[in-house]
Amino acid sequence: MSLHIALVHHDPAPAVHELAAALEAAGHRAVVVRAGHGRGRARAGEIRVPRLPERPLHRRGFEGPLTHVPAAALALHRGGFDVVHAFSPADAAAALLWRRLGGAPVVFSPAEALDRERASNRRLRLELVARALERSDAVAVLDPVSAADLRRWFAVDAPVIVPADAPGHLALYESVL
Amino acid sequence: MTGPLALSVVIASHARHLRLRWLLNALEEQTLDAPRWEAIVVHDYDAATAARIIGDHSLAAAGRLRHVGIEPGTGSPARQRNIGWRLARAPFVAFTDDDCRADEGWLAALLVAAERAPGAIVQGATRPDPFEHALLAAPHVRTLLIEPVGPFAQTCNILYPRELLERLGGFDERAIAGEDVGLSLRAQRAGTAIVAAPEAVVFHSIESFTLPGILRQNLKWRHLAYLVKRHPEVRERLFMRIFWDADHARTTGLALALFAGARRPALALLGAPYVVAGVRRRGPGVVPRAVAIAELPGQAVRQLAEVAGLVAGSVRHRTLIL
Repeated sequence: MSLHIALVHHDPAPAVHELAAALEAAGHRAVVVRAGHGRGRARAGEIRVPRLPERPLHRRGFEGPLTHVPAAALALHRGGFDVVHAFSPADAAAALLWRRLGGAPVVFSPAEALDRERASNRRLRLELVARALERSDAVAVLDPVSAADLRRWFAVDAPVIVPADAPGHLALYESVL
Repeated sequence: MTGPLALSVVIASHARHLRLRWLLNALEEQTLDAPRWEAIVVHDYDAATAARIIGDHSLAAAGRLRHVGIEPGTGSPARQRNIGWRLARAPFVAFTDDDCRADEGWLAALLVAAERAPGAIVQGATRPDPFEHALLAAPHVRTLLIEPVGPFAQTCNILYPRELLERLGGFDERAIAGEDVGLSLRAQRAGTAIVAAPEAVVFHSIESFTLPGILRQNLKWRHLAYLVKRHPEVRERLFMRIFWDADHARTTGLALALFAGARRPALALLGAPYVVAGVRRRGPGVVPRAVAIAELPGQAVRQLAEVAGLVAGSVRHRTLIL
């Protein structure tokens, strides 16, 4: 069965594109949902959602980016995806918002380091991270360092599935469907 | 520093299991030799959370961390700390809170100070956590800055000889707030000194709240009147012997200005010190001043609520504190 998968990251790291390519090569439809200023043209296989200038929020200590979350949730709603894979706490918030409104299962894989220094260093960061870890249908990580961080700082044991491992990711998606 | 067990670290934990985990990680990195200290956590988490956060920690696996779970809804900081120190095996009991992160030299510095001043209480330094400084930009934050010896002997960073805790019967479990201050006052009345250990550092979390959230957080301070009733000597440390601090004095002036200023315009001037201090809250400069002015209404609501809570507590305990 061919899956329609959303990979949500506001500013996709190479790992996200690598995973998208691996999933496509395995015969599935992978769409990268990313944030961008304004409504510019998105690449093929990509949806760009609007994001407002965030300097005022950043100056007030907020985690960022955040302003793309509602638009990302709307894009997920319109996309008809079978599963959503989020790569940051804010993107997981968008995915969980959509899931609460009747959307598909959510997988969370933090693409950014979640060590002590970064676990609560901005407003809303700890709340978003905790929510992503506790409420996602599955948590996996992309490398062993992230696995060690999650274990040490959040007491979460997450399997390591490298971006190029399409079968590993597909097995994870199927486990939550 | 090798030798026998010298320190028991006691932590009361409630509703902050992730920060507790971070504290345990910080304790794991202590420079004081492992055999010289142990940790005891008293919490009200469900069994699965306790196993994941505490039971599964490497300190527990090494036999240096014990934990006691109590029924949710039956705990309080005083009760949980009392359970903890009564289980302590070491002659010194160090208290810290589950929203703190101990510097790696914390226990070693506390022990040095304790051994230099036999029988004394030792207070370390508490600083806002530098990892979380960005949160100071929020309008409503909670953190602590204490350079020892401070007036309130908070349990975020303090050491008591176990023998002293036994003699005094530990924390007053009827106190909902200020139980740490109460214990230190009873100790001082019994002739115990409090000495400073500024090199013994813990970092206190900086947490931001919404306005409703900080109002809920601050509800407990209405019970400070119980502390003042039991320990009238606390008034020596209050502003003008009535106000918890100068902020509360200014807020009381604001309250009078708001409620009586319409009928007696001269009373409106009582609000001026509050406004002036409020505008200066974020420091000099156009942007900080603008931010402070924008935050003024929310700050006023928060502080008026604090004072109103203390009024209610004053009526209940029949002793005035604002």
